Amino acid sequence: MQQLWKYLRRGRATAPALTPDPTPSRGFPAFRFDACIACGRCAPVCPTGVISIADDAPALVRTWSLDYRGCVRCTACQEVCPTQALVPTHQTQLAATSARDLEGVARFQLVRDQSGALVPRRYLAWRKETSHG
Amino acid sequence: MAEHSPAVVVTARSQPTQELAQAVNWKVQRLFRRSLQVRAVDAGSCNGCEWELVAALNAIYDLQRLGVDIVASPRHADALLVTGMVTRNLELALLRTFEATPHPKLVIAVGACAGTGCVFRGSYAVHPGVGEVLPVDVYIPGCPPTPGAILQGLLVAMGRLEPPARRQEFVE
Amino acid sequence: MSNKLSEVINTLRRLEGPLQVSAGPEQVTVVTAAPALAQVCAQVAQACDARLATSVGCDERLLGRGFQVYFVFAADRAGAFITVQAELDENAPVFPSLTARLPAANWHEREMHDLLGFLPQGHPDLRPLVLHPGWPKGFFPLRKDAQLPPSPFQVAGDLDMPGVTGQGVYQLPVGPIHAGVIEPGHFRFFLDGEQILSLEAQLFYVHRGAEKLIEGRTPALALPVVERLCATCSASHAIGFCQAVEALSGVEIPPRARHLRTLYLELERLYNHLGDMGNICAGLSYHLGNYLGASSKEALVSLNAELTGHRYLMGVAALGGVRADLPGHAPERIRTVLAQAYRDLQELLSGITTSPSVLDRLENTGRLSREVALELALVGPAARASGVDRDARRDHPYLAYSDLKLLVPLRSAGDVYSRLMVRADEAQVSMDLVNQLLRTLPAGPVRTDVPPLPPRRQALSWIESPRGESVHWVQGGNDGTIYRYRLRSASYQNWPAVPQAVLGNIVPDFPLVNKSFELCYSCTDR
Repeated sequence: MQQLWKYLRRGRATAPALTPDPTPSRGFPAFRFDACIACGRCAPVCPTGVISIADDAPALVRTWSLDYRGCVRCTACQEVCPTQALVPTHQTQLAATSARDLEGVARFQLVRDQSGALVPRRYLAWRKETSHG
Repeated sequence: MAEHSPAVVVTARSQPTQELAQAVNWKVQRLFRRSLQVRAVDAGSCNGCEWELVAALNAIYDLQRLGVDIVASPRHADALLVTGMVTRNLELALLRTFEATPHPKLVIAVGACAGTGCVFRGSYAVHPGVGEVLPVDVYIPGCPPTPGAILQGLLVAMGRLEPPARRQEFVE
Repeated sequence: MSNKLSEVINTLRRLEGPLQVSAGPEQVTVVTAAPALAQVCAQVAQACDARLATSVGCDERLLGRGFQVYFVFAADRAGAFITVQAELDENAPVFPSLTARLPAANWHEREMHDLLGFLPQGHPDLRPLVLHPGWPKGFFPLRKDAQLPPSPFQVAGDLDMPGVTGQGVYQLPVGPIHAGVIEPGHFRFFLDGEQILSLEAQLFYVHRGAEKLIEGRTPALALPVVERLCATCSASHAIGFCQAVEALSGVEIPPRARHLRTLYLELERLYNHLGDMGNICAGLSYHLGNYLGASSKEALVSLNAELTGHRYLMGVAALGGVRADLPGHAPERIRTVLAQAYRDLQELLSGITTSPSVLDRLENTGRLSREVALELALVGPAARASGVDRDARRDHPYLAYSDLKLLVPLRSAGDVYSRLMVRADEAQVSMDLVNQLLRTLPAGPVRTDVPPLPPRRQALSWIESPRGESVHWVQGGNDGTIYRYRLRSASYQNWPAVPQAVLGNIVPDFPLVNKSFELCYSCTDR
C-alpha cells in the first residue's frame, strides 16, 4: 500500500501522444534549394550513399537527390556544405507510405567554364563571388 | 526471390489497378484504424530499432494506448514491423514469417537499414532494404527512429495520421 | 609496468621452438612457423598466464606477404598483449588447431575456416558458423579475390545439430524469429522432461559482412559502419576503432577529448546496466523492477540525446577526439539525472533483495563455474560474476582511466543473481566515475587532426564495453585505406558460455539466463 502511494505520487510519466519526442534528438537535414550551389561535396561524404549526383552532359543538367529512407542523421553532409544549403533540424518523425514521398530531387543547370569543363552555373557564380570577396 | 502473393497492393502501375489499390488500402486502413496487432521481425538490424521499439512500449511512450500491441506470433499479426536490411542468412526466415501472417497485412519498414540498407548497402551478405524482398507499405526512417517516430509511423500505418513527408522537387 | 613487460619478453625468449620475439610499447610479437603455431600459442598462454584476446586471419597477398594468422593473447597481470603470428602456405592454408588446448579458440578458428578458407587441422567441430549452409561452395568473402557467383541464391541455413539422444530425450527448436522483440538466433534444446541436457545455438543470422565492407575505405568513412555494428555498444565500438586508428597513425588526442570519451563510455555502461537489470526483472515477471529499469534507462538515453543529439551516442566519436564539446549546462544536468538514477537503482535493489519470490528465481539459476569462465576466456560482467577478476579499464588502462579511482566489483557464485548484482555494483562505480570525470574535466580543444593511415602496419586497441572487453584490430593498406579490420566483441567471446550455463536448468529459466548475460547478437555476427 505504501509502495503504491509512493508511485502514485510520482505523477504521470507518459508523454502526450503525437508530440515531438520529449527530448529532441538530432533530426534529418532540411534542404534550402535556393542556397545550394550544386557543388557536389555532400555526396561522397555520405556514409550511406543516399545522396546521389548524376550529370546529364547532353541536356546540361545535374540531378541531385536525397533519399530520406536511408538517412542516418549523421550531419556529415551539413559539415561539408559551403553554403548551409543542408540545415540541421530536430525533425525525426518522417514516416511515409511510399518511397517517393521520402525523396528530395533538384535539377541544376550545367555550363562550360573557361577550360571547357562542365560545371553547375550556380557553382561558377559562387566561385567568382568568393574569390573576389 | 521466392514467389509470394502480394499483400496489400501498393506497387500497382496501371491507372485502374492504382485506383483499386487505393480502395483496398482505404478498406484495410479502416480495418486497422482502431487496433493494430504488430509482429516485430529483426531481419538484420543492429538492435537499435529493437530497443527503440521496446522504449516505445515503456511507461513514457506507452504505445499500447493507441490500440497497438506487439504479438508473439505472425499468425496473430495484422502487420509485420521489419527492422534491418534483410541479411542473406535471414531472408528465408523473413519470407516464411510473411507467409505465416494472415491477409490483409501491412509491412512496415523501420529504420534506415530496412529503408535502403543504411551503411551496409553493397555488402555481400545483405539485401539493400526490405523493399527488395517484400512489398513495403510504410517507411519509418531514422537510425534508429526515435520512439516518437515509431508512434507516428504506426499511426500513419493505421490511417489515423496524414504522412507529413511529401516529395520535394526543385528545378533551376 | 615495464618491469613486468620485460619479464614477459624474457619468458617468451626462453620458450622452445622456431620463434622470433620483438617488442613494442605494451605489445610483444612472436613470429613462428605454421606447423608450430598451436604449440607456441599454448606455451605463450601458459608461461605468461595469458588468455586468448582475439584472432585475425588475413589475406595479405596484395601486401606481398601471403596468408597470415594472428592470435592475440592478453597477459592481464603484466598489462601486455602478445601477438603470435604465422604465415600459411598460399596453396594449402593449413595450421594446427588450438581448440583442443585452448577451448576459447573454437569460434575464432571456425570463423577463419568459413570466411577465409583456412583449415585448422584437428579442430573437433568444423560445422559452418558465420556462413550458414547454403552459401556457394568455395566463396571465402575475406579473401581479396572473393567473388559472389552472379546467379541469385537463397541460404537454406539449417545446421546439422547432433546434440544428445536417448530414451525420452526430445528436442525443442526455438527461433530464429522469436516471440519477443529481440534479435534473431536459433536455439535447439535437448530435453529430458523440463531439464535441459544440452543446448545448441545457431547464431550469425545478422551477419552483415561489415569487416569486408570496411576494407578499402578511409577510416572516416569506416567509422559510421563500426558505430552501427551494435546500437547499445556503439560508443564503445566507435571509440575503440578510433583508438586503433590513432595508435596506427601515432596521434595523441587532446586531454579534454580523452575525458569526454571516457565520460561517454561510462554513460553508455550506465544506461545498459540499468536497462539490463530491468530486462532481467521482465524475465522474472517482476513488473515493478522492469518499470524502474525501463524508466531509468529512458531517462539516461534522453540525457544522451540532450548532450549529444543521439539517444544511443552514435556520432559522438570522431577520429582525433570527439565530434563536439558538451553543452554548457551539461555537468549540472548529468548530476541531476544521475542522482535520480541512483535513487531508482536503490529502489530496484531493495525490491529485489526483499522479495523471496524474486530471489528464488535468481539464486542458483544458470550457474557458471570459475573454471569454465577461465577456460572460455570470458570477459566483462559475466566473468566477474564467476569470480574472474578481469577489467580492461584497470588491467590495460586507456583514455582517462589511469587518472581515475576505479573499483572492480566481483562476485563468485556465477549465477543469475551474481550477474545482476555485478551490474548493480558496476552501475554505482560508473556513477562515481562520472562524478570524478566532471570534477577533473580539463579545458581545451576536443579534436585534433589525424594523418592518413601508414601503409602495411597494424594496430590493436581494447575497450571495456558494457558487456566486457572488445578488441579492435586495424591494418593499413597501400593507399591510406583500411586493408583489414577485425572486431572481437565482448558478446562474441561470451556466447559460448550461455550453453554451458543453462545445463541442468529448466526451459522456462532460459530467457532469464540469457538475459543475465545480455549478449548482443549484432556485434557477435557483424
